[in-house]
Amino acid sequence: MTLEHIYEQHADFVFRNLRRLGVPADDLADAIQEVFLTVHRTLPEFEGRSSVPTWLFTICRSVARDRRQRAHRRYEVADTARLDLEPATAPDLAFALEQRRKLVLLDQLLGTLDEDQRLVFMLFELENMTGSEIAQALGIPTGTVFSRLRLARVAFRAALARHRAAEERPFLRVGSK
Amino acid sequence: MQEPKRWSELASGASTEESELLRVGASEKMPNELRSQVWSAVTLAAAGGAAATALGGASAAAQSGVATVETASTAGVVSKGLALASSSVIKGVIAIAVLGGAGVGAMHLRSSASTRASAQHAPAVHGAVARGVASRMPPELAHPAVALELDDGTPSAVASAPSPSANANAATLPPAAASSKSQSAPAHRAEAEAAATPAGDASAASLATSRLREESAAVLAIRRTLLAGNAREALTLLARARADFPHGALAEEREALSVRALMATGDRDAARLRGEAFLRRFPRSPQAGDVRRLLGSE
Repeated sequence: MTLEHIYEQHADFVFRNLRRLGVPADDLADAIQEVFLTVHRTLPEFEGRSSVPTWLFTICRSVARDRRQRAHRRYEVADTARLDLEPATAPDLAFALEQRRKLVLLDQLLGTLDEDQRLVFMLFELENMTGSEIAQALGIPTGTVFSRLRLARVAFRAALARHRAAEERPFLRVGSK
Repeated sequence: MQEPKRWSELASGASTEESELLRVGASEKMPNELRSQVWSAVTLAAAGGAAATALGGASAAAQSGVATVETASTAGVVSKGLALASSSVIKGVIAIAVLGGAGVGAMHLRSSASTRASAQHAPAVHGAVARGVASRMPPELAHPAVALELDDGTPSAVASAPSPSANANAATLPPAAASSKSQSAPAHRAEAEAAATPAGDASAASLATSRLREESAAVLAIRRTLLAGNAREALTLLARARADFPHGALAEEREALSVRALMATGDRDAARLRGEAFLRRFPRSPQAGDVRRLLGSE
């Protein structure tokens, strides 16, 4: 397993998770680089003691924590629209805009979850990690992973319902969040 | 414990909208340009790992109150340089300084900027680097870590700004270390001499740094070509770079790329020959492990 291989396979994973861990947009490139330099440094000791995503996520989490502390910012997901460096071509434009809108909504809903539940939800629902991988990545029992997942699902569903309700009754939006 | 079905799967109990939102979120990709920029920065910083550490040490010294960047860099770099007595560290430091900071170093410089109001050169480094990228990137991504792409006309300020630390570095090395470095690595003599000239004599230094910038641009272009899957074209560019910079400071990076490119074209015999030559020439390279794995001998 080489650094290049890990980058090819998992750069998107690192990108998504750093972003959702609240690394500000202007800091993302740096943070991704820091994660992979840590990977480079610690690769000889890794020896497959956990899955690669589990390992990468623990690195992402510590890098994100450092950066959030340094920036003194509260949790806030970077606006992906500002990161979109490649203009979509005309035929894809409508589709791209639709995807973008969904992504923004998803981040908005994730932002309403309690942090412990959000992490479990992200790793299980978005990153396809198993319960035991998540347990290892977060340092909690597997049972706790699934109980947090249940709570997170309830909260996510409720947040989406509130969002839809607010959309239908725009004048009552104040305080609906 | 039984894994519940994921909400993006069918019949998981999620609504169509919930499933769709999660599928979109799961398939989000890192923008391509960002992807290749960060990769270039990672590999250059990884290749100059010791040097990046030295720069990191320098900024730590700066944070603890050492007055200027020159002093701080000297402290960090020289202690590293002497401890390892390795020309590659010096070379790495020069390369990284000239390249405008391979991520780690530059990042530390910036992050500690507020604690050293008296460090006159650091803002210049950061400012110059930021300007270099600003022309091609949205402001929210214009940052030293992705400033390594010098191949399209980064302002010369990038090359000149860090030279004080390079000067300080070479000037404070003991004469023995400096001369043995020159003898053992004639390839880097130009840089060493350039760096050792008095600060007033900027022309030799700028010649060496512009040469190094050209070489780093060539290496970045090769890497990009290879990553794009054009191994044959990469080999052509590699041959040209070898002719243009026979004793280049980035030869290690270039030769590692050669092994990879040959492997990608399927020419295993040539890849093996070049890989073995690489391992003889750079046995302690951070890329040696990668090369061995490529050759299947590990």
